[in-house]
Amino acid sequence: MKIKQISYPHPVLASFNDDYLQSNFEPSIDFEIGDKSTTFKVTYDLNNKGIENLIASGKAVYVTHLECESSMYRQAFSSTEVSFQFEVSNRKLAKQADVTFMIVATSKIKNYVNDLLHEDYEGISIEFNKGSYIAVNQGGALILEKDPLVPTKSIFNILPSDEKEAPNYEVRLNDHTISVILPRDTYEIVEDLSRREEVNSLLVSIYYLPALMEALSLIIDEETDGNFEEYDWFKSLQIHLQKMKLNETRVKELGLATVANIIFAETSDKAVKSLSSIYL
Amino acid sequence: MTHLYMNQKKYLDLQQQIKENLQLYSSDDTWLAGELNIKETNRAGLIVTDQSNRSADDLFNAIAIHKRYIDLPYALASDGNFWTLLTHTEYWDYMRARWPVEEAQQDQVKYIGRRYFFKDKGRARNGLARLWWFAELSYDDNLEDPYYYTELMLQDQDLAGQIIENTYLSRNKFALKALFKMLDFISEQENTGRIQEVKGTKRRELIREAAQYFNLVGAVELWDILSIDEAGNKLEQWVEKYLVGLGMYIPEKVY
Repeated sequence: MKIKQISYPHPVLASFNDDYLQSNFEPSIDFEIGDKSTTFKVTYDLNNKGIENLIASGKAVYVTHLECESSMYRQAFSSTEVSFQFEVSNRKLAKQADVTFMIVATSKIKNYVNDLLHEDYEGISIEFNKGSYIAVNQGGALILEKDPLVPTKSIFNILPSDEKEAPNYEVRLNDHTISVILPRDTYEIVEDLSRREEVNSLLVSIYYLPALMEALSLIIDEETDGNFEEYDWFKSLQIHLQKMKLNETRVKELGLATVANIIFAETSDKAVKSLSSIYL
Repeated sequence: MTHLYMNQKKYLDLQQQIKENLQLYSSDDTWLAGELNIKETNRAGLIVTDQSNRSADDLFNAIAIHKRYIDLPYALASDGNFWTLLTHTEYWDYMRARWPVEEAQQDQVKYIGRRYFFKDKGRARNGLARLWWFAELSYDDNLEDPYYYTELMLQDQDLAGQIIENTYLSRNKFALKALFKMLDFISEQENTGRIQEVKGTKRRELIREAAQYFNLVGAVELWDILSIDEAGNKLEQWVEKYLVGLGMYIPEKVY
C-alpha cells in the first residue's frame, strides 16, 4: 500500500502538504529477525496536541501497515501507544517489506477542530468517517534478508534463437529473467566457452553488462510502460540498488555503465585480468 | 530428502525446452522424477474423480494441498521453481488427470507454460499453485471451519479465477471477506425478486468495479479498521447505487 500524495477530502497531517502548521508525524521502525517470527518495534513521534488528544480519547489510533509485494502479504497493526511492537511469522515475509504509517479515526468525528490547522480550513465544518486518515507517513522499504539476493547471475539467462533473421544480440525483459538472445551458432560457441572458468568474466562483460544497463534504465525511468515491477529481475535489482544506497538520482549521476559494473562487483577488472591470462 | 528446488539452470532449461519435450508431456510417466531421483508421489492426496468435469474436485484439492503445505513460506509459494518441480514430479499423475496437454484448446506449449510452469500469472494458473493460493487467500483460522471462505470462493470457478487474478483482491483478505458479504446481499436481493439476476459479464464487471471502489476508498480511508459487517454494509450501499445505475432493480408492483 502506497500513501499517495493526493489532495484528501479532509485535512491530513503529512510531510507533503501544509494542512497543519508546526506539526509533524515521524514514526520510526526497527526489526529483529527470530527463528520463527520477526519482531517489529515502532515508535510514533507525533507533534500535534489536538491529534494526540484524539488518540488519548480513543477516537483515533496509530497504524503501521506492512506489505510484502512479492509474497502478497499485507496487514495493518493498530495501537494507541507511542511505542508499540508486533510479530509477523517469517513464513509470510519476503526479502523486502514496504511499511507505511498513519493515524486513523476509529469512529465518526464531527465538527473537528484543531488549533494548528491551516487558515484555509477556518470556518469549514470538518468530519472524519471511521477509518479516515488523520495523519500519514509514507514510510519506506525494509530490507529484511541479510543474505545476498539470488546470485546476480541467476536472474540472467542466455538463449539461442533459430530465427533466420535473428539479430546478433537481443535483450528480452518481459519475463522473470533478463534474457540475452543470440543466434544459435554464436550461442553454441558461448556455451562451450562458458565452461572455461577463466573466460567467464569476459562473457559477463560482453553479454550481461549491456543487458543489465538496459534493465537498469527501466528501473530508473519513471515513464516506463509495462508491468516490469512484477518480475524477479526487477525486484532483485531494486533491492540490490537499495542495499548499495543508490537511489534513482544517484544512479543517473553515476551513469548506468558504472552502476552495472558495481553490481557485477568489478567485473570489468576481472575481465581485463582474464584477457591477460589468455593473451599475455 | 524432500526437494524444494531444481537447479536454477535446469529450471530455465526446462522452460526453454517445452517444445522439444512436448511428447514427454503426453506420457503417464514422469521423466523428471526419474532423472532427479524423486520417489514421493501425491502426498497431498489430490484427486480427479470425474474426467468429464475435471474442476469438480478443486475445492477438495485446494484444502488438501493447503493442509499438506500449511507452513509453506510465502516466498517459496510465490516461486515458480518450487511449483514447477512439484508439477513435473510428485504430482505428475494428478497433473495428467487434471491438466492433460491433449486438452489444450490452442497452443500446447503455452498451455504447458501456464499449467506446469509459472508463466503468465503463475499463482493463478499453475495447476498446483492456484489450488494452494485459493485456500491460503481465503483461510481464516478464527472460524470454526477455517476453509469456510475457500468453499464460498470455489463454488464459482469464474469468481475464484477473477479474485486470484485481481491484484487488489488477491492480497487483501479483508476485501475478500467484505466482497463475500456483498455477494450474499446480492443473492438475497435476487432471491426476494428485488433485482434481476446478476450473471455473466455483468457479474464479472460488478466484481471488478467493487474491487476498484475498494481500492479507491482505500486511498483516503483504512478499511481494516472497520469490522467485516461494517465493511460489508459500506459495500452494500455502494452496490445498491451501482445496480440502480444499471437498471437492475425491479419496480415494486402496486396493487
